[in-house]
Amino acid sequence: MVVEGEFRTEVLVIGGGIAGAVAALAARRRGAEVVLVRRALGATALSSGALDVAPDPLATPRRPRGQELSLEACVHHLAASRPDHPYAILYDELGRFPEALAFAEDAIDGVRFASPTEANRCLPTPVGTLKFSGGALHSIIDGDLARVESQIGVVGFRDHLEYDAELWARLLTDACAAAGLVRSFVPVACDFLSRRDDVLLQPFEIAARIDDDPAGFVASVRRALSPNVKRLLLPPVLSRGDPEVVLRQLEDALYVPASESLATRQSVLGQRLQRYLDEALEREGVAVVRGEIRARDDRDLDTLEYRPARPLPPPARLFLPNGQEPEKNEPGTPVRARAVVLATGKYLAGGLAKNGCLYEPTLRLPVAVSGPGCASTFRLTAHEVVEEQAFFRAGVRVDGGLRPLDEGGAIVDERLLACGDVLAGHDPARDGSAMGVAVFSGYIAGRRAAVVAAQGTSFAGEGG
Amino acid sequence: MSRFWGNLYLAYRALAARPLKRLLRGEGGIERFYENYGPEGLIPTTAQDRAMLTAAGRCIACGLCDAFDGNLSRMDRSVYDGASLLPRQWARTSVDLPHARRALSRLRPAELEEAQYVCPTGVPLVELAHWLSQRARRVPAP
Repeated sequence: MVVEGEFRTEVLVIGGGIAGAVAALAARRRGAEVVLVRRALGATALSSGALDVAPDPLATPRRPRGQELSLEACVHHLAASRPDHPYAILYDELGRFPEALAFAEDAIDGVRFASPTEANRCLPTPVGTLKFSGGALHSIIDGDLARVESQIGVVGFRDHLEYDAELWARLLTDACAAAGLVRSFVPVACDFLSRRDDVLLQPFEIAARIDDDPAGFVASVRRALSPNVKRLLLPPVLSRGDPEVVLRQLEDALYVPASESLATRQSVLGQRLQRYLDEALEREGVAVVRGEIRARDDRDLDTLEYRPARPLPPPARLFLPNGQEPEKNEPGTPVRARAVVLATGKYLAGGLAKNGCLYEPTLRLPVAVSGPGCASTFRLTAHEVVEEQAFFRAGVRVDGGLRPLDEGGAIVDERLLACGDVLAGHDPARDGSAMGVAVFSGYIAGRRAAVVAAQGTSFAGEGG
Repeated sequence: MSRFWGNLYLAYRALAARPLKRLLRGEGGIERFYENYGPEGLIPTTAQDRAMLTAAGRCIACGLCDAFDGNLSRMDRSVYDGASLLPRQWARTSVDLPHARRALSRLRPAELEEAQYVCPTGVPLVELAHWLSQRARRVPAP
């Protein structure tokens, strides 16, 4: 897409997580030429494999299942109770929510959502807790503990430090009891990892080992399996690619259905989701470019520049004045796009940055916390983790069309849209709606970007 | 009166004895630093060191780099546990560097490029590996 010293496309998506990928795919399906630029991996590649849409409003630590309201009802409740949440901002579009989920399922392999009329799925984690989520990767979602009632064998690796079958079974039994579910978990400690230093293997290495020898893994599970087990729950390390091969072999050899649990740290499932996104982008003909986009002038889409991906150099000065970024001396390639979708995430992926105050580094859009402006980071975090953290709700304020707004509430640029975690008003870690916001806002932004690109008479960079 | 003699003694120490002692010893601060702290594995921190330490401090220990580190499969787990060791452990203190020498000598910085690309916070892993190798050479052997 870099032609004669300039970078030209109809729709430019900045950010390659799930929001950016869904936006790119939605724009592409509407016929636009799309380029997606990403600097590095972000929160999507670190995600647990759960695709949370909206939590049950009546769920409490004592009653984690809540009233088991439908996903649609949970989304509407979140929108009604939190006027700054992206679901509330997009209230007029909420009718399209099922369409957005169906689009994501169709476009991205391995992504599955419960029907909008169904309740959140009850999914186990490797630390013995339960996560209630509206969707998950396909290897996980069938292991909904609210639906399976048979005796469940939980597979661990004998002598491995992290995946201890006995402890996991006990913790899950307790967690299910606390959620009002009577389930029986049987430890299945297989001897698949038996080399001297296997005890320290990291999750992605176990996954690679299983990829290399799926039959050996299945045989080790068979050796450890007790006859009364009717279903298997596996640690989230089945494969770095497609877990279907191992799952099918397990089911064929042992005659029991099997599913993975969600992941915690060093998530193989997050990396798998990222791979599914990359494959979908390639299949649909979206060009993915490694690099970084920055506007030379604040909020000016006509001065966007592309630079190849490079690690941030060691800083020349240790302390920079508020909101100032390290200087980049090399000239960038000018970017020409009819529509731009900002899907740069929050702090982890670099969509928001903190240097004395919060700022949005790509276009220097105003960051809203409780009000617009360059928000001071002082007193934006509360002492207790479970309290509301204004810091994590900060982001770019948008109108109902997902167009970023300035301090006065005016649209920054008609050709600019934002989606995903960069939006203000939701805390992806706490709200239980991160992936839902990413998919829904990405879908809406992508479709709008395609329309803007089709109507546009000029490219950004050649004057509005 | 004793206060007067006390102050006079302190003034003599500060203005005459100590400067003369420093002058006659003929050693700079660096030599004395190494003499005092070298055996513990501590070395002076230069301006370049400070910049690299700040860059390493961006690491959030997410572990993504480990999954894309080509060096991991070539070394024993007791020697090397993945690229995140560089910013998380070896950059934190020079005391650990003598123990890291074996891994650092076998580390191929080129194989860290993919790990560097996926890093969400932009830790310059390749540059960090070069810097740590040089820094390890400056630490006296235990």
